Amino acid sequence: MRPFVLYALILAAGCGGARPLVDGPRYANQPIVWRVNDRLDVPKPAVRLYARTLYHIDGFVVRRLTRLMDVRDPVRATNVNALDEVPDSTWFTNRIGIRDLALEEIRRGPNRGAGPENHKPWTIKGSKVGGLSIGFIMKDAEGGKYLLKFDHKQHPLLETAADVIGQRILWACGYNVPEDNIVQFTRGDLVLAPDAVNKGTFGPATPLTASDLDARLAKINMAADGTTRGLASKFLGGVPVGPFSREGVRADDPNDLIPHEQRRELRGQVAIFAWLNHSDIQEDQTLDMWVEDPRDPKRHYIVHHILDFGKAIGVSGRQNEWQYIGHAEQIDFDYMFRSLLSFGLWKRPWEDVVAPKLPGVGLFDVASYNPGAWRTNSQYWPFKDADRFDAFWGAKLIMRFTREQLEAIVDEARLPDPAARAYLVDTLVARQRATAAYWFKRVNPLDAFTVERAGDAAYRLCFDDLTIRYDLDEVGRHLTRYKAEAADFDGKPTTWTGTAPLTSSGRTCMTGIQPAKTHDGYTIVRIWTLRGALGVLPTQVHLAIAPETGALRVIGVHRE
Amino acid sequence: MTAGPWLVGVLLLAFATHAHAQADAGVDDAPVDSADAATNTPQAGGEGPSELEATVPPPQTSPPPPSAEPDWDAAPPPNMADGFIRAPRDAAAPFRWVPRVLLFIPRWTLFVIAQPVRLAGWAFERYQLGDRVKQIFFNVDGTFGIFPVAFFETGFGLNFGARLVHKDLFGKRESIRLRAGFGGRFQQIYGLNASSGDRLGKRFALSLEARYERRDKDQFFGIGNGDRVAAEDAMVPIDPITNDRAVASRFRQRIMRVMVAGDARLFGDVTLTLSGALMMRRFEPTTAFEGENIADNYMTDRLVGFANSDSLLGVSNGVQNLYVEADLRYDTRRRASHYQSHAVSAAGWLLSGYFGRMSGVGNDPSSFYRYGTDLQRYIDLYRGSRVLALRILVEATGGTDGRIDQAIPFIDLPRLGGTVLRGYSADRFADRSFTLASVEYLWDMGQLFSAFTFADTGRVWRSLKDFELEEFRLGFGGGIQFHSRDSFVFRIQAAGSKDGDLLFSLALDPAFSRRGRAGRY
Repeated sequence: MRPFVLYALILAAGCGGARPLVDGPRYANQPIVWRVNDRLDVPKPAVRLYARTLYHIDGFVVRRLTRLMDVRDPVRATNVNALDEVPDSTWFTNRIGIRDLALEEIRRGPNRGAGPENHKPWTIKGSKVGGLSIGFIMKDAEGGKYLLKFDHKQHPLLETAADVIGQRILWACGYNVPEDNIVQFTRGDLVLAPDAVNKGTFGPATPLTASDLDARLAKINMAADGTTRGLASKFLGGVPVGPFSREGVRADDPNDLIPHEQRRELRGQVAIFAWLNHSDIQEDQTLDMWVEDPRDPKRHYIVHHILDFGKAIGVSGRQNEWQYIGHAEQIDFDYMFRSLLSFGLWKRPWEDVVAPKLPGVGLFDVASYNPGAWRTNSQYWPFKDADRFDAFWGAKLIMRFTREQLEAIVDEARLPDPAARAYLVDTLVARQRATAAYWFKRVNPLDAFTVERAGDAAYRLCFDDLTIRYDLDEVGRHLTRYKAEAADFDGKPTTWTGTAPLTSSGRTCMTGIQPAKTHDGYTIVRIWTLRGALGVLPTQVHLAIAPETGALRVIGVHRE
Repeated sequence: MTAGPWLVGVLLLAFATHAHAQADAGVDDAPVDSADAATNTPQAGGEGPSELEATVPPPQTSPPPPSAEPDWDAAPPPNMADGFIRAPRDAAAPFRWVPRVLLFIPRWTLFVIAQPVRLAGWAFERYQLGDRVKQIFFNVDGTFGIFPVAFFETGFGLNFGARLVHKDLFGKRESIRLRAGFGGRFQQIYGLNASSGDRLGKRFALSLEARYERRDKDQFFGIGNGDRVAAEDAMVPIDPITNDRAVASRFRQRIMRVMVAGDARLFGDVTLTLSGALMMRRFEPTTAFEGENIADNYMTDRLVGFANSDSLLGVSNGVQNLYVEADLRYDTRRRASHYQSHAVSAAGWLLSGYFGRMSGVGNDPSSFYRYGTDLQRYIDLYRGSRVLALRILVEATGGTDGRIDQAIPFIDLPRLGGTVLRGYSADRFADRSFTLASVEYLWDMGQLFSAFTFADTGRVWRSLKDFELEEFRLGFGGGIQFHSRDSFVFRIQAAGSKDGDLLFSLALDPAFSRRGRAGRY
C-alpha cells in the first residue's frame, strides 16, 4: 500500500470520528419532565433485612475493594430531568427548590394536625423493641400512634433537638420523612393500657406494668417541675418493607428503575448532610413503606423515606465523644495510614474541634468545616459516587433557606438557652454559605434560565449567577463577566456570540440570540463565567422552538 | 489468603459495628406500623396534592404547569426524565478496560473468598446471634452467665473452656467468676475469683482468687544475663548456677494457689494494696518440644525447687511457700482528652513501691524478700493523642544469695522478657534482680486504633550492687493497638532485639500494665 493511501485512510477515519464543535447531549423538544411515574401497582414485596455487620463488612472491606477493582466509569446521576433537576417521585417532592416556603409551613414541616402534645392523655401500649435506649409506643387521645423517645440522660436536649431540626430541613428539601414533634409531658399524662406489653427480641411479650413504666421513666431526664421532654415520632402509614439499599435497585419493585447510587436526590444529599454534619447515614436510616394509593385502593407501591436525624448537628460527635465526626470515617484507612506513616506529626483537620458548651448543641462548628472533605461515619455509595454536579444541586437547595426560615426551624427544637439557639442558627448559616461557596466554584453556578423574545426574530437569554445572587464571593464579584457562543443541533457554531457584564442582582441577560435554521431552531448556547483569571467549564443551555407557541424555550441544561 | 486476617477483620468490624450500634442507641428507631396502612395521615411524598401545584412561583426555568390533580399516570417512567435524544458522551478514560480486565479474576476471587465472612455477618443479624447468645448464656440483666470460651494464643495454641460469672451477687457489684480451661498455655486450669465490688464502699475492696493450673509449655532460659545459644552449640546440660548461657527450654508446672488482696484508697490518688498468696508448685521436664527438654539442657537438680519435685501434689517437695506484700501506689494516670479512649493514658504519674516477704511452708526452705519500684510518667504531647510514656522498673530480692542457699526457688526469681523487656521471649532472663527502662511513643490513628513504637532496655543482675551501664539488653519495635472508647482490646506488635530476636505477637495486656506479684511468679 502506498503511503499516501494509508495517510488518506487514516485521515478519513479521523474525520469520520470527529466530534461536533459543541459536544454533549441533545434534548427532545418537549416540556421539561417534573414528575415521573413510579407508582405502578406492585405486589407486596418481601421485607428487606438490614444486616448491620454484613453492611459494614461490605462497606469497609469487601464491596469497597470490589468497587475499586471494578474500575467503573464515572456516571452522572441518571434520574434527573433535562434541567439537571430531580422530578417528583416516590423518593422526592420538590419543595424549597422550586418555591418559597412560608415560615409557618416550614415550622410545621411534614407534621399534620396539632400533634400529640395537644391530645393528652397518652396511652402507653408497650415498650420500644430493640435498641438500648428507653422508648414507648403510645397513642394520643386522637388515636394517633407514636413512638416516644428520649434524650440520653447525660446529654439532655441533644438528640431530640437535632432530630427535629434535621427532619424539618430534610422535609423542606423534598425528602419523605416521618412526623416528629418535641413534646413535654408529666407522669400524669400517661395512661398504661391494660394490654400494654414489653416485647423483647425473643420470646413472648410480657405485661408492661406501672412499676416497669416508672422504673424506666426514672432513667430519663425530668425537669424540676416534673415535666419530661421527649420526641414523638408518628408511625408511618403503610407496610414497612425494610430500608432501601445503598446500591442497585430493589429487585421486587418494578418501579425502582434507577440504581440508587445513581439517584441525584441521594447523591446530592452529600452537600445537605455535610451542611448539617449528619454523618451517621446508613441504610437503617431509611425505610420503604408499601402504601395504598389514596385514589385507587387497589393500587400499591413503595414510598421511600429517610429517618432518624437525632445524630445530625454533630450530635454523634458530642454524645459519643467522636471528635472526627464529619472529617473521617469510623475506620478511615486513608487517615489511618497517613497518621501511621507520619508518626503522628501530621495534624489532622479535626484535632482542634471542641463542642461549644451549650446545652443541645453537638460538635458543630464552622472553623474546621471543609465541604469538599466532609465524610460520613461509614461507607455510603451514593455519597461516594456523588460528583460536583450532585453536590451543586444539593448546595443550590440549601441556599434556598433564609435565615428567618432557619430560625423558625431551630425554634422547633425548643432549646431553652437563647445562646444555644443563636449559635445553631449562626452556625447553620455559616456552614450553609461555606457549602455553597465551595461547590459553586466547581460548577459554573448559573441557574434559573429563561428565554424570551427581544425583538422580531431575536431572543434574550437570562440566568442567575448563584455566587453573585447569594453574595458568596466578594472579590470575584467585581471581576465577573460572562461570555457565550451559540451552535446548532450539529454543534456547528452560529454567527452569534455574546458577552455580558455582571449585574448587582446576579441576574444577567444576553440578547440577540437567533434560533438556528434546523431541528426546530435547536440552538445551544454555551456560557462561560469568568471571574478574573478564574473560570470553570461552561454551561450549555439548549433551546428550541416550541411547536405550540412558536417561541424559543429552554429544553435542556447541561453543565460541562 | 488464610483465615487469620479475615478473622481479625471480622472481629474488628463486629466490634466497630457493635460500638456503632451502641452509639446509635437513642432516638434511632423507625416508627412503622403495618396495621395503620390505610388509616394514618398520609406521609409526604405520595398522597395529597402534589406540591408542584403550590401557588408560589418557582424561581426555576420551565416550572411545571399547575393542574388540579397530579396525573402520575401521564408522567414518564423514572428512567425517561432526562429528555435525551442523544446522551452525553462517556467521559471514561479510553484505556480503563485494561485494569478492568487485569483485575477481573482477582476481583471475583476476592468476592468468593469473602463469602463465608459475609455469610457469617449476614447470619449474625438475620438470626440475631448476638442477642441469642446473650439470651442463652446470660440472665435478663446480663449479670449472671455461664458460657464457653475458645481463643488462640500465639506460641501456645488453642484454648477452650467454660466460665461462670456473676457480676452482682448481692446488689453491690460483688462478683464471682469460675473458670475451667484446657489447651494452649494450660493443659488444665480451674479458677475462682471473687471481688467485694462496692460492698465495702468506694475506698476499700477485697478480692480472692484460687487456681489450679497444669502448664505444659513454660519456658526457661537459664539464670543470668547470658547470651542465647542453640542446644547443639552449648555444652549441655548446663549448670544454671555457674553458667549463664541461655538455651531455650521448656518444662511442666502444676500450680495450686490461693491469693487474697485488699485495696485501700488512702487519700487522693494514693492506694495501698496488701496481698498474700499461698502456692504449691511442682515441676517436671517435658518432651513436647524437640530439643527443648529442660532436663536435657540444664542440670535440673541444680535448679532450686525443681529437683525432686516430680511426684504428685501433696508430697512435701517442690515449692510451697507463702508470699505477702504491701504495695503503695500514687497513680494519676488518665486520658488527657475526652475524645480519646480511656485505654490511652496520656498524662499523669504512677509511683509504686512494694515490699514482700516469701516464706516456705512445711519443709520448703524458701526465705527471701522482694522489693521494687515502678515509676511511670505519661507526657501529653498533643491533646491526649500523642503520648510519650516513660517507665523505670526495678525489682530485687534479698535475704538470700539466691543460688546456692536454696532460699529462693528458680521459679520465683525476678524475670525479664515478654511484656517487660519487649523484643525478647517471655522469661528470657532471670536472676535475683533486674532493672528496666522503657520509652514508648503512642499516637492516635483513629477512633479504634493507635500506633506505638518503643524501646526497652534492661538486664538482670545477681545483685543490684553490681549495677553498671554495660551489657544491657535492648528491645525495640512497634505496632498497632486496638481499643474501644472504654477499654484496651489488644495489641499487634512486632519487636526485635539487638541480639537478633524478632517476635510478632498479639498482646492481650496493655503496655506498662500493673504487674501482680503475689501468686503470679
